[in-house]
Amino acid sequence: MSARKKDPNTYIFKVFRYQPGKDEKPRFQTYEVPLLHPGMTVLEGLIYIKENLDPTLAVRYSCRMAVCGSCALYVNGKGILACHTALREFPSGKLTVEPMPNYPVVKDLMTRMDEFFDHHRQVKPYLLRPQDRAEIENPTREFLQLPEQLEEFLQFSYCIKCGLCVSACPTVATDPDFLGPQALMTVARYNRDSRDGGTVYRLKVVDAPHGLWNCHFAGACTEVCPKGVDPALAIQYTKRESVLHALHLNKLPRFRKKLAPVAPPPKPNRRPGIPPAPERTVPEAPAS
Amino acid sequence: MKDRRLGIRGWIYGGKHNPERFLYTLHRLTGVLLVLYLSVHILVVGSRAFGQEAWEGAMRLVGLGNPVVRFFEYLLVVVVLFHAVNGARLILGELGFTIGRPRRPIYPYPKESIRKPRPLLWILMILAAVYLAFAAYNFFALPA
Repeated sequence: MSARKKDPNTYIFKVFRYQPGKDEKPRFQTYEVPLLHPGMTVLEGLIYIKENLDPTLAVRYSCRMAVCGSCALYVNGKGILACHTALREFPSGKLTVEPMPNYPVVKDLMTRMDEFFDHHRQVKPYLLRPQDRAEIENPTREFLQLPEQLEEFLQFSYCIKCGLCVSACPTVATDPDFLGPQALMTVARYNRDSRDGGTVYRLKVVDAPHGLWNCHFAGACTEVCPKGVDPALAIQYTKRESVLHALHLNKLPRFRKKLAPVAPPPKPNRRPGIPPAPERTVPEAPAS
Repeated sequence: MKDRRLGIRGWIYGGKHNPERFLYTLHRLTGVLLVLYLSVHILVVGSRAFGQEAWEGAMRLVGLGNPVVRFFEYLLVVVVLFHAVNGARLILGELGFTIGRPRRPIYPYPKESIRKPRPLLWILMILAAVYLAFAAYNFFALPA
């Protein structure tokens, strides 16, 4: 590979190629991709390779706008969403594209996410309300929540499950059973939700070996998150909650969680004392 | 190769490198060293159970008069101090202090949990370095 690229509008992609079961070991293949428009993204470059240079390249993507979280991969050793990163962010013009580490490779840039979603399911990522199970099973009305209560967890609900935090986490690198930043973050997302009453059940899952306390706040998950979710913040809050529960301080009025009430049924009549509408001054328009 | 799990390499590699990441690695490393030290320490102190001669023999072996032992004792100070100072920082964060509150993720993302306590991180590390400089003077420049 040349030391510097000659053409400023050409980007050199060094792409990780590996097909388990067929290839002995991974190799890197080099492609030259032209800058088709100023805002061209890494994903567009990979699609260009797929369409024009090498149709055998496997890359997973769907929405192309940082919403679905399918195209997470590593470029020059840093975790990114391919659709969310412009080629012009790499002034050297050279990109080493690899799949996310800490995941098994399906093919080339695609990684197997089974374990990731398995860990996500383990922490019960849905509203639990053992206090009134009937309402959860047959909902009558919505739960009432104040805007301040929404802000308590809204940031954590922006997670798109791309898996970059798990690939960056140093604990995951040495402990395959560690739940990972995404699952631990999800615990805080639901435990901090005023509509949820399942804190004890989730803490039972995470306050265990390979759980919460294997995190030593490296902050890599927060640094790499493409949606600004801040998993490290969420995990520290869960640790605090776990400590409060262990010391039974969660029963103090200051730390006690108030469950959001179910909205009252709508009132049948309008407020009394409202005068009736005045007479029409223009005739009603004919029904068309 | 199928799994591509980074192993020990993952403690320093992967993602964007932020200082907390290196402190994570050092914290784990110093933790392991402290456990190893503790076992040696118990063996040395336990020699008193075998009589005064055993104890004095052990003290001659690991006494501060020996420059090699002195170097390792200083290393122990470094390890203990780092683990204590960084541990204090971690406990503060884990109890919800210094790390900020959840915010709407509006670009550029606040990344509060690591950006907000970072000044504290540098202050603690500088204080630890100053202490270690004094300790080095005490260990090596002054007579035993």
